[in-house]
Amino acid sequence: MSIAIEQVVVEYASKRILDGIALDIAEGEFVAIVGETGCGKSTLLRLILAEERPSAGRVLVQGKQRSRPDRTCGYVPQRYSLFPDKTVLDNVTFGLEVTALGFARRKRRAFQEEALRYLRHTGLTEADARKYPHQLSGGMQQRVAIAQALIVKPPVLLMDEAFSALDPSTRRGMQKLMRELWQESGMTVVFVTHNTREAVCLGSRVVALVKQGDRGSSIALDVQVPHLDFDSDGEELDRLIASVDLKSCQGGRGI
Amino acid sequence: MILDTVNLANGVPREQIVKGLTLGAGDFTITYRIVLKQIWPRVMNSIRLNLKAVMLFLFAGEMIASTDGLAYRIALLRRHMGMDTILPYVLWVAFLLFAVDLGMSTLNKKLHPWFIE
Repeated sequence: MSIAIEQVVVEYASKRILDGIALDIAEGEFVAIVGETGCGKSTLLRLILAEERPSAGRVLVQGKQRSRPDRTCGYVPQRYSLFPDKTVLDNVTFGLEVTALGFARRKRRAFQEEALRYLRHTGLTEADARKYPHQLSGGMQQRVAIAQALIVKPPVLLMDEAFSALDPSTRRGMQKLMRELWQESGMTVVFVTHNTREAVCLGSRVVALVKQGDRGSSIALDVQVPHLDFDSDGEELDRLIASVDLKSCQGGRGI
Repeated sequence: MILDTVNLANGVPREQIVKGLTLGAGDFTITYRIVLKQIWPRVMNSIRLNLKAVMLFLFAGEMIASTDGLAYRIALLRRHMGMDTILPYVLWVAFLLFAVDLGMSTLNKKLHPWFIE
């Protein structure tokens, strides 16, 4: 499912956050949006999610403007991604149950089996499925959040600094898992991060937002990134990370 | 109590509501299956904390305008300085309140095993 962001401007109380952002995301792309804290990355994500409306311009998902979040876009935030009152299994089946209209009880068993399949795919066990979110580690919680978002098969998955609260080794594992899931499903992914390395490792395309003083942020860099093996292509990875140096993008020069 | 409940509902993270919407939940489902379920243990705690005020008003009401009830009897016996009856009554009231509080606390833990205060 394609996403078109057309000359979007966002202003809060006369303070400009985003300045004329134009971005076309093709179906099946993995776009990593990178930029320093406060440059409007998450705002851009919320615009795609339809949680926020732009002051000017428009955001189209598969040619349609939406007025509120819906199943078109799956969402994995950095925190509060799971419902604390539900077990892991219930968290994952939630999306299936709420749309099953009256047949939920009869289909519950099938939903649970489907949820367990997704949980196993993200590296969790049946024992984990019976736990509550607070009984899991941060990495496991994000695995559940990904399974929860993917089970309803959203054509677009939006991730807002989803791995930034994780320790480095868990983060690396989650990056690999995410890349595998994207390659298998072929869905469109928009991944917001402030970590350039993560953006280059994960994305098939990296978009950098840079603050331009009072004018708000604009796109300073938009590059396709070759698929790299996380472990073996170290030098190539370092070269790419250096090329996405945000400081060299200041003033909108780009690379 | 109502203000407390409104505050608790407002305290549910926005991400949870958005998450619900992206999973296909409607307004009704979000209200009952996400917001109310999450705030319910805190609402029960709020009821527990407000019990003392509730009992205070109940006793004051009974002492002023009732012709029956524990507080009425205490008020009546006070006139005759019947401390041998008043003290067991006061202890009985304290025990009742303690039992209700303990019961609600246990019920809260039993109904909401996920809830951490």
